[in-house]
Amino acid sequence: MLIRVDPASPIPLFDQLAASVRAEVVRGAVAAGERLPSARELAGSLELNVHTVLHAYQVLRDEGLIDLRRGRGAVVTDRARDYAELAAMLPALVAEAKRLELSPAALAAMIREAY
Amino acid sequence: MNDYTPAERLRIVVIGAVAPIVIAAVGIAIMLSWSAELPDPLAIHWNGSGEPDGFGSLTGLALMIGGIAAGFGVIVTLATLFQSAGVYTRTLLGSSVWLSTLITVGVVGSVYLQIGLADARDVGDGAGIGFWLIAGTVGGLLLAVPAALLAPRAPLVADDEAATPALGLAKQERAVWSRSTAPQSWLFAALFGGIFLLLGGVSLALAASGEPYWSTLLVAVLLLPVAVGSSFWRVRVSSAGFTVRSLLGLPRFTVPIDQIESARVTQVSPLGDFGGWGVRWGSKGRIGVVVRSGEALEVSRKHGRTIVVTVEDAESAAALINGFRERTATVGA
Repeated sequence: MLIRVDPASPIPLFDQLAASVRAEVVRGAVAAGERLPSARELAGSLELNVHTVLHAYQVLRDEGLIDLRRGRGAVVTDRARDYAELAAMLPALVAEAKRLELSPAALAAMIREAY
Repeated sequence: MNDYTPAERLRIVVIGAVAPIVIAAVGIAIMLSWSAELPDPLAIHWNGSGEPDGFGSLTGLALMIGGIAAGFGVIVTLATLFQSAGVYTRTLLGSSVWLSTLITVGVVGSVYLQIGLADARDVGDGAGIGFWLIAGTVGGLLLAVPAALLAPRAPLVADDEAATPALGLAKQERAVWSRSTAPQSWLFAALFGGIFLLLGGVSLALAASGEPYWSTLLVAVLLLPVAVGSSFWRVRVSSAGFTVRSLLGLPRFTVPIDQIESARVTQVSPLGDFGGWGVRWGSKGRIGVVVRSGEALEVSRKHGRTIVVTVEDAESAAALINGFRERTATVGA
């Protein structure tokens, strides 16, 4: 699993972290049942506060993508499989947004509006 | 990985399986030709002080020789063919010939000592047996070395895999890649199943014959962590460098990022490139953490040996390592 965060980006770090995990699930690099690195370990490698990582993990748990259990850490749920279909629709969406020269933020805003 | 030509395949089958079976068959034929002059039962096992303490039939011995020679020969030959066995082809095929010769000469020799005896207990001390075992070992080598040299040279590992393109990292971007690696499940089942069937069988056999069996159980208890420790690993790439660590914490291999020359994805055949599974010395002087076949991350060090770890998504790991290397180089310039 490849996790990337950029402190120079305006997007909050916990949000970037959650997005990174989501992207890896969609890419199939993390399968259902797999355990994510512990919050402390991830915070250490990424030079982040542990609370930032925990915040990201909580976002993913609320989304139903991971299970947080004491002693077992963060485990990817079966929901990971359901993301594939959604992910398959994204390239078309992004391609169209690029054709219209929309920024990622503008596309995100449009999706938010549509909800 | 390259493949063998049909002619090379034929040679592998002849040397690895046919030759050992022929050697065993000749031995069995010689042994059977003596059957009229042999005691029944025969002595088939000697204790530490050279007294015969196990007895069996001629047929049983013939089956044993044939079974070991054919079983080992077929397994080695199949493994060599299916794994495109690379650098270990010759060793494996030679060992098949050697084992067959040792077993055949050792057993046929022990039977030869009993020609003309009315009772196998009179066979006397183990000195004669020792001679035949040494003869088998040496004779085996005399046959195995030429056999190994006749075996096809290892197909050269295709070395056209270039360093993986670096992942583009922003100036302040932080990244980490982490993945656990374990044997493909069938291999895992075979490994553990094999170990515990063997130990269980030995324990049962010992218990049945009234001998102490706790030592086998002790071996099982000691072997379990070794098996687990060399099967399950976590691989990590961070700005600090590359680490591969056993589930048990040890052993572990770490390469700081500034000691890494480059990283790339490669394909590994465990038997062919490393002669088996676990932590191994492999072809081209590489150290391998080899738990599965296929995709592997190869990390070349500036000083010291290259490390290869079989792990899925090695592409991302190699790209990240090269990304960190590239960024450090740019910042330094």
